[in-house]
Amino acid sequence: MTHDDKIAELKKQMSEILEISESNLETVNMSDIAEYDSMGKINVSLIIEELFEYEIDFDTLDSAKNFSGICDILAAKV
Amino acid sequence: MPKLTIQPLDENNLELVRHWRNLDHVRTRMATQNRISQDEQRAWFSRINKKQAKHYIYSLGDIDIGSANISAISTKNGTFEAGIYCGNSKYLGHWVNIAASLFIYDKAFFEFGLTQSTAIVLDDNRAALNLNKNLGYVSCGRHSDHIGKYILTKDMYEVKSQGIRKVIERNKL
Repeated sequence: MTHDDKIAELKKQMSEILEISESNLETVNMSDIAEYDSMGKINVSLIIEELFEYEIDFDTLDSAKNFSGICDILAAKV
Repeated sequence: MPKLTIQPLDENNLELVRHWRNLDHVRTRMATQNRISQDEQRAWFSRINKKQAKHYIYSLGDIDIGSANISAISTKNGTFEAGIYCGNSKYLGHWVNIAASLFIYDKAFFEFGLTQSTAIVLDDNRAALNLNKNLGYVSCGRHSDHIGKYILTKDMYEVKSQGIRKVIERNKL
């Protein structure tokens, strides 16, 4: 699976667990997503670990203001 | 990163817990939503000391965050009820609340040797429903029109909590 494929899969899985459409996920701030609470962030951490074999920590994940920010972190770290 | 600490509820933090319990973001998520007076709080504390229940305050470093409890403990049936709420509104949605939840369930299942938890949750308490679903609770009927009943077995908790525990532990909470 290429990096782009993994990003597409991340978006799909985040869309499902955060109960938001993929198109909305690309545009909203993470803080505006109701399901992106502590449990939502733990689930996103686990998806990232599974797809990218990268154990993202809380502070790093919290530094991403939107989905694009998460992608930037993954591009730099993975 | 500051550490999660948990201490038993005592008379010194009873008023803090009453303050939290009466805040709108806590009170309105309870099955019983009346405001608690000082006298009622003291009477409640006296009652729980005679019951099969354990109540705790959890903190992050030196900041008090919320209250957690294991109640309705039946060693005969292996059952209990668990409760947790974040009183400190600055920490709503914070990981520390999940870490405190794991502490409570680990204590009940692995230290007390209980095997099943039951819960009643308001249908609009999205955060609690989401947490419970991820811990492995399943629906088992209705308590009332707007309150559902849920059940969690030790076996299910062991499986479902693995991923959550991994993330919490690697962040050293």
